[in-house]
Amino acid sequence: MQSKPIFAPELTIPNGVTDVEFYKNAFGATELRRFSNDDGTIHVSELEINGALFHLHEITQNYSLSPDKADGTTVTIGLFVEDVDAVINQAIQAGAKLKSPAQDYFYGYRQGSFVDPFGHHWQIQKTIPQTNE
Amino acid sequence: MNSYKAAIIPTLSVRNGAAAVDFYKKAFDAEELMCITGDDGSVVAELSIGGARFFLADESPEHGNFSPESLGGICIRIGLLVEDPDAVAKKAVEAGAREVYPVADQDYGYRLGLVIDPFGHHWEICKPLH
Repeated sequence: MQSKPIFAPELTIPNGVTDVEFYKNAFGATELRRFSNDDGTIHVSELEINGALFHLHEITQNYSLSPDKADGTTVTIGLFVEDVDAVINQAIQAGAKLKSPAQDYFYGYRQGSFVDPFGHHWQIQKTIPQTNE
Repeated sequence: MNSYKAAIIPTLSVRNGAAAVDFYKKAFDAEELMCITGDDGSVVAELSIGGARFFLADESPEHGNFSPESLGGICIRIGLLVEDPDAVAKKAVEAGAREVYPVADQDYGYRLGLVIDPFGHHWEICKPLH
């Protein structure tokens, strides 16, 4: 068990989804567990990206919203990786839409962002040396 | 340089970011790592809950970032894995979060409870059962 707190966000997906290959293709995610409905559609999928845990959860309550319908989101997923450009390129090839290309920022990050096929916003980043701008 | 392989650091969009910073400090013993206040009073802050870092920002609809209040719901629930979910949830409720259901052993392998904070974000406070 982990001793320090960690975030494991739960991303809303629409009802009726069966295909979440995007997360495997884009991030090399591993699906740890899946809870399916009787018709084979996904209720919950538990995924891991190189040690970072997250869940996909179908809409079950009226307060959970699919971000593609909202045309925006309430939470952006920041993902720290070794190679920002490679992860973004792979995600775009897997079907994500580029929001902001990878670039170095003076505050000490290389960052870029995209919107995944379910409408979730991901910011891919790593720390770099700060510059005095 | 950080040693994480892949780490998830969420950014929560809120209305009244300054008040949200205060709330998360009280509710989760969050430590303020960084806070930038714009000319209009809008805030971008980086906080840490016992080493779990997250960002908090006033909503910016022009970038597709909405507070739960603006959307009337949430697109992502915040799962927070901690050692003692009972104590963490209790403190959050004392600070003003609303309990949706109490922390209890769930059949899917977590001890977990759900609270909604005053800014509309949903927190699943949990730990794996084994």
